[in-house]
Amino acid sequence: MRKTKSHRYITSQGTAFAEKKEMLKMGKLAQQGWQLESFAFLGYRLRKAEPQNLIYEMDYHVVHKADMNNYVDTFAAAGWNHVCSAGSIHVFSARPGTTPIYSDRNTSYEKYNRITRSVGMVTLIFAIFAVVGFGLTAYTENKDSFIESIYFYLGTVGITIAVPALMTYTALMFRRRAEKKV
Amino acid sequence: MSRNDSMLTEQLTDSAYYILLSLLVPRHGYAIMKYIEELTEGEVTVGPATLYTLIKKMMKNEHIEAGSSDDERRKPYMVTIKGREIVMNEIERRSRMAQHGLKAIESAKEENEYEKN
Repeated sequence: MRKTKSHRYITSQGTAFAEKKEMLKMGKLAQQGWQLESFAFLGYRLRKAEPQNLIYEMDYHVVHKADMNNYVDTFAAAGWNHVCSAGSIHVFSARPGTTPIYSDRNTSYEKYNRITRSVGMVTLIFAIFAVVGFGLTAYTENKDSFIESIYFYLGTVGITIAVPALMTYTALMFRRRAEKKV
Repeated sequence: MSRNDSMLTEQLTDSAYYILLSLLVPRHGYAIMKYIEELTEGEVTVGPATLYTLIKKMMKNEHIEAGSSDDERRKPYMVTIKGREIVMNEIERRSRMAQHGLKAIESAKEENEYEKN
């Protein structure tokens, strides 16, 4: 008997770059019988299900554990079912025609403002690591010392995270500008 | 603090205005959205993410407070004294704005007729 696959994995382009596009894609996949189940490493995990017409939206909110029920229930009351979360990123699905989760530009702008600021903070911290790490590497007299390799390692970790973080930050700044208060 | 003084003259966004209006009596999330739809006969709907954002913000600004409930999932909120004052000012400000509009239409009509004669 042939065993049919019950799960599959798709990669993400990064939600900061392609949030709307990826949410539309989730809707198309749900129509084809693959529903979003959870976030996975650099992508999404899908589950085989009955084909369904669904729309997806993403929210960014730091929700404390004690408030999670309240948060999810507010969405459920408006017809949006909680699908999955990763940190402060939450995905909801609903029947087509449901009122969007953000009904005004002010709060939609604030959504992107929150995430832009936290990504900005990450960029800054790791950029400092890179500068300090490579700076100390350059100033270390003994190039073969253990401490020199620690500095170099710090600099490498810093730059490896700071560069994609900076790209994400830039993308989010454009995204935020599109929601600018008028 | 000067920030608190400016609170009373603070203008509310449309969504914040309707949420505060619905919280003149204690209501939880679902009841707020439902009441706004009823009140405006479907003209205004507030999305859940907009509602959640504004509830958090207005709690922080002390425009509203959370009441106690046996059911953690249905936490009711209600305006504070400060919140009530702000929404009352806002009702008056918005009705003055509507009157200004009507007045401008009237005077425009008169001026146009005067030009015809």
